[in-house]
Amino acid sequence: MTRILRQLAQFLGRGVALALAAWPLIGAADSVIVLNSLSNSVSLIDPKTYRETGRVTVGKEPHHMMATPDDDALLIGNTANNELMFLDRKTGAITHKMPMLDPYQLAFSPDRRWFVATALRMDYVDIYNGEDIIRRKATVKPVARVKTRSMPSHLVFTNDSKLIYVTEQGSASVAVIDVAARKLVQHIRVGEGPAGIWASPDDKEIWVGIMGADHVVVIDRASSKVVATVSTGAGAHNIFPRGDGRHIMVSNRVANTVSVVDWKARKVVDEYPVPGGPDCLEIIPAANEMWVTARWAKKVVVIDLATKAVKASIPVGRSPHGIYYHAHAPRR
Amino acid sequence: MSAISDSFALVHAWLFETIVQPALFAVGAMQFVEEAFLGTELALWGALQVLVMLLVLRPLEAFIAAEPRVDARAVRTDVIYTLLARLGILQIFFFFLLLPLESELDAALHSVGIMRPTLETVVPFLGENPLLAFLAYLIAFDLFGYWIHRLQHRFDWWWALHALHHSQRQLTFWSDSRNHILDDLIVTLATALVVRLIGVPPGQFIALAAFAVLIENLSHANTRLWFGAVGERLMVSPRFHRWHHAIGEGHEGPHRGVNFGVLFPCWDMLFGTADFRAGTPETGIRDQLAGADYGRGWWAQQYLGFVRLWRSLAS
Repeated sequence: MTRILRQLAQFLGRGVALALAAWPLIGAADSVIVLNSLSNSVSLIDPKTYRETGRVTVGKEPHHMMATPDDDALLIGNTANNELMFLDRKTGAITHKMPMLDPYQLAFSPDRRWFVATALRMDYVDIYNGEDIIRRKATVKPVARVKTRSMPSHLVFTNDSKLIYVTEQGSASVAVIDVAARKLVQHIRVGEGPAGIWASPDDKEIWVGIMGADHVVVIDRASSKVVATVSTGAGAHNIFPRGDGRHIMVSNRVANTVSVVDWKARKVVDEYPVPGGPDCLEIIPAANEMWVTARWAKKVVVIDLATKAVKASIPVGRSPHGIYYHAHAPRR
Repeated sequence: MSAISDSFALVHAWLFETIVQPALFAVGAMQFVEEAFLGTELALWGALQVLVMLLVLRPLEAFIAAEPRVDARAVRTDVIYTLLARLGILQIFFFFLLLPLESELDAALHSVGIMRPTLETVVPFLGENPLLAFLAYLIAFDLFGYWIHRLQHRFDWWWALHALHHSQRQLTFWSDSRNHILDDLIVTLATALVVRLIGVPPGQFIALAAFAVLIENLSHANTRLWFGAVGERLMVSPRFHRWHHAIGEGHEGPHRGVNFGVLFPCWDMLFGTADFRAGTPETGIRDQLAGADYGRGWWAQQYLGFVRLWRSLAS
């Protein structure tokens, strides 16, 4: 009896799972992809109609994602169930999973030799062989596990792939990790709640969003000191390049704005109002649009970059976080 | 349904953005912004529950009462318990307190090549179906609740605390939260631990707890309501749970009580503790008939709980 019930439950479960998995296959190729961190799902949005066309159930608390170097799949870190997931961005199908401890923010080194994941709730940074990830091994082991201070969140490699800068959100500092030595070599104090981090293309500066304040700071790499502060808005959080090599976009969570900063002049040159706690963003040059996840509003907000108008406010899952579109602005 | 959920999200976002987040920013605690977002949701659920209790359960008690409401003060004390509990401070405190412990456990296991299994890794299709996963969590959560409840009656020291819950002679839908603070601490800590270990995500934990509490409120209501011969065996009803509070029935006998189930009576049926009789027995503890005092107000009840615990441990 128990066996029959178990088999029946498995059969029903698989049937429902298959039906759910097949749903998003329609029209996923050109979708904007959004991670709903508290709904454990991925929303697929049609960038032309601004409608959610499908939703894929993934693991627990997916926060960030990135494309594989061959741009074939999206890597999604399911933090709460310790798993790195591969999502085919053309079909919306989950193609591979590998166990990985609390993969919060992800990055490949520019030379693709290393893959790094910050474990925010664990206070670790794990360094893996990039090839192991690219080849989709069944299981991977970090070549190094570097203990950090509290809540390592965002990270950036230097262009020479030698150093990793990691914001330590709970410790008001940035950790510097020497990849070859596989150890943490320095902490730089930057201010309460450091979050987003970005390296200037000339490799001379590291920019950090200070969530507990209303500004971003500039770290001079040569001296490892904060040399400038640029006021953007309360709750300065994440930093994304505009794609023109000159400007960066800073999302200000408390102020509900996105600031445009000329990083060479260290000056705010423009500002976009974005309601709902703006976090990650993607710029779509073809439409001259900025797509922003509004963490508290369960929405993705689409801004017309020319007029600053909100073109669409698209309902998605709970606490939408990472966002990706294949035809995005250059990451520079 | 979607309109309700959208309105809830709207109020949640508004509360968070206009009150909670600015407060966090002002005190320099923005690193806890995600936890605070969930905490706000929990408090909002609590407020919504109280509203549902007043709109649904209060009329139910008025129209299909099991017994007349004669002791208004006793009910008022239970209202205080409910409001304190609905703020959800305890739950959220333990839930997040356990995160670092869980992380250490995960890291230690991972370093020797083991990834801690969760419910979805043991039963993979649950990971692809949130509704089934939620049901599975609910069943696991309820089974755990049943056994915790059995132990509350089984150990003398624990019963010394839990007796406070049973000492209400005037049972109403407010009575579910009438617990000794130490009893609440132990149960919440144990529940949070188990919930984390089976891998329930924070958002679903809130929904799970909210659903469970609503059913528990109903099961304590002062009403003759029952769910029919089949329904009684599917979900805990006010009639079923009243026997758990009945003098001489709910805390005596070979299992030190009957009808321990929180949401589903199946555990009582499975473990031989179910009592499906009809009737509206008098509620309370037998020694109250001989004059035992469990206190009238919140402070007195808490103090006397500690005294009973001390005596139990001393003996």
